Amino acid sequence: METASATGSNETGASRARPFRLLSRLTALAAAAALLTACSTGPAATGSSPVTAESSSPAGPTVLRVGVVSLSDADALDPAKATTTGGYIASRQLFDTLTEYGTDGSWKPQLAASVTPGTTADKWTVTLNAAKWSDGKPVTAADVVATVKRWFAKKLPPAGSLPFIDPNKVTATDDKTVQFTLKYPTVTFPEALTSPTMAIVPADFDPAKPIGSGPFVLASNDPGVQLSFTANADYFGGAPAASELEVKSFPDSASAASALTAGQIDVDASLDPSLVDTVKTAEGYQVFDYATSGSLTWVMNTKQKPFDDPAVRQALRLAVDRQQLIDQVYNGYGTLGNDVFNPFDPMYNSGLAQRTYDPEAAKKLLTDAGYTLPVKVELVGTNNQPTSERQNQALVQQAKAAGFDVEYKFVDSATFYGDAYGTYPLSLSYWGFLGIFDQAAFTVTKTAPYNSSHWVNPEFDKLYNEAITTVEDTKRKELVAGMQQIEYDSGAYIVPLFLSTVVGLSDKVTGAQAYPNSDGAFGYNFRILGLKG
Amino acid sequence: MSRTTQVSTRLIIRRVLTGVAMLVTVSVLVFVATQALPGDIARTILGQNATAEQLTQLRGELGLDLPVWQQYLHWATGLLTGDLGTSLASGSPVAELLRVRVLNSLTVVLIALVITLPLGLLLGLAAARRGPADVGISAAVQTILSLPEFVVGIVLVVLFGGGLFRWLPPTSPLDPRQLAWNQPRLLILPIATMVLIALPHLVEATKTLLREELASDYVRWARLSGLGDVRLLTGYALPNVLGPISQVAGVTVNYLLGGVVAVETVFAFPGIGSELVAAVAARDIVVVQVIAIGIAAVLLVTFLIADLIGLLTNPRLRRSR
Repeated sequence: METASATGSNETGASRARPFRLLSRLTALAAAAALLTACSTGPAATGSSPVTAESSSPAGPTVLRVGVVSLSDADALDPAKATTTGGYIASRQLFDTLTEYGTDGSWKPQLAASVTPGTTADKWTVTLNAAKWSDGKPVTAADVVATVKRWFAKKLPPAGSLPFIDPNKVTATDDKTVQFTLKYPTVTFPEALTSPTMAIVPADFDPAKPIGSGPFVLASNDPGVQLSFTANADYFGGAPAASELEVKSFPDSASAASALTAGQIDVDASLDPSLVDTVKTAEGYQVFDYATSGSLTWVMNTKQKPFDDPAVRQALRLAVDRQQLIDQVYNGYGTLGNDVFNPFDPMYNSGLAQRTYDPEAAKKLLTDAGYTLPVKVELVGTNNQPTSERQNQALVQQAKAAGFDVEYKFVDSATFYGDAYGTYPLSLSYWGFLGIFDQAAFTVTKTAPYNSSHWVNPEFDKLYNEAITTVEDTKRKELVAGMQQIEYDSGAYIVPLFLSTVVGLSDKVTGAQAYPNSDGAFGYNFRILGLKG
Repeated sequence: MSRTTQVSTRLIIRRVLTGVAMLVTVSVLVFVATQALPGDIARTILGQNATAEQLTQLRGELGLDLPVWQQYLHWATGLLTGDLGTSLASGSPVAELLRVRVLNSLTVVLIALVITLPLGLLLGLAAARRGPADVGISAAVQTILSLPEFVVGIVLVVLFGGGLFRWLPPTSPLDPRQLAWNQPRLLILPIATMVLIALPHLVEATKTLLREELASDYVRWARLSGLGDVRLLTGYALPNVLGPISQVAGVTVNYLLGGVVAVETVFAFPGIGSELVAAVAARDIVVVQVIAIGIAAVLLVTFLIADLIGLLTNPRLRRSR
């Protein structure tokens, strides 16, 4: 019916239906066909939803049923170990982070009441909200200190992402106040704490019985099948609107979409943009979408030919028809990318000219640099996102006209992230939902642990080191503009577009809001959702 | 001890021993195959943000740094003491992880079997007599046989799960906190799909066996002495082909178990088939092993039972009693 479109959403072309184009899997195709036919049979299709199975009785508790693609056995209940959709979902329901990216994409205190710097950016004071653990005990500064020390003592992933924290210089000055003395000034300290992996846990935390401060309490965990929660009536931010939350796993986007329009779930948290029209035309269901900072980014390996040559990198950037990707692969849901990260960061350099598809200029760059066309390139990809394959296949076509012969090789996820990871000449990675500084620290600087482009630029690193210690906003913005200019001119990433989060919703669901800087539907903050009737 | 019993006992012992040897072979093959796959569980757990140090640490914790044969022996000795091992991905015992899924899959397979066996025999019997019934049944059988398993499921979804008629739920995300048995609406389409996958093989085999029997000399003599077709089929031909048919029924179980992988994926059904797919993708060797061995064991037992029925209904052995 209608699209409840949030701020910043790109509506252009969203109505251009190309639902089945390039769908690689027959299963998806047929299930989509089922949906479409369902829609054409009209109102009888939904209404009182006769096929609703195991739904809540009207007088009983409100059960919010969310479908995701997919839960897995590897979903961790220890937030610091979360690396999967299910792990992040569990973290957001059971725990709180000190800070979070809010609905406008900028950071705000969450479990913390305030996060304030000293006169220099190496001293930070965190005060806590009056929150309680689900066993009734209060959340104290000692718990925060224990959580941070635990990351470093056990070498958990957050320790690697927070190199500026000295675990020995995190102290509780009273019950509700924590002092951080960092190894070096870091202005982005508050936003670095927004990741669901950095949720605060009790000092005596046991992942087998995860006690948290979050909006929900774990009712049961059936790995790879379902996560069930009950509302935490004492949640410091107010009890969530739904009294129970069931997160159900689906193997693919098409089955989740057909479960939604059959009334088997209320929220389809991972709607493939190509299936949008089947949901929109089903009575009683709508699509909620918003632009995000997430992106499927092509990584060019500067250690390998031909991408050791900046001219080739620039040529490939010109060989990408970004608008066509948005229209064809994403059914109109997406915003143009410009090979630099995070348009939702206030420091984003919006002064860079939008790069457009220019196959002739690309060919000229290549021939001027002495290459004979076509230039052969191997592209390795996996299904790290439902649209990855289609995006890669589109590149093969688009780059052909620009003098590239891209040979696309698909491998399964475990192979992709196996020993060969980081050695691919060209690959597609899922990045985003990080501030510009965090993204740089993770994937761009010389010391970045996940820089699989192996791009090194001393000038960039110098600006980065200066900017991260600069407290004054205007000055810092100038420095960041310089960093992004370098990436734009000679970097190793192609950020063709920013993904939109597209969610299928029953009309009964209330409270939906955009979380542009957070991964997953509503940043997996299902506490905001309620159910009418 | 009579001669017959001796023969049967020897045969059973031989079958059981062969079965055990096959199980060991299957487990070694599965283990070797999973080792040959690129990538490992540590990468799956830690994701794209894994550092080399974290990977090494996790591989150590999971015992993946041990030589392959040690990993195998460790798992196999555990199995002999009734310990199915610990899932590498979830860190929880495999028995606990698979309990609900085994019950779910078992429920649909058993119900599908109970429907398929008598239905397959009846239809096979009907088709054995040449005539309009034979033409109709054979056409249907050939159509279904030509379709890949998952297509059968999708066609049912299109027909009944929202396409033409919105009678049934198109997906089956069972609530793991309840028995599958208590969520019957969610079982109908998966079971129907499995029946449709397995039925044609049984119908076809029954028909062929009965036809051969009808063409034999004794039947021709009986027919000459005035016995009708129906009487011939049920009274003479059928009892004589029960042995071979029980073998075919064993094969039916094989099709049903093979079908669970496709069916569970199409219907988002939480069972061992979908778990097997997920475990292979995640390189959770322990879970893959347990499911593969489990399916192989069920098949072996099935064929053993089929052999026994064949033995007991063998006319030659019956005569010597």
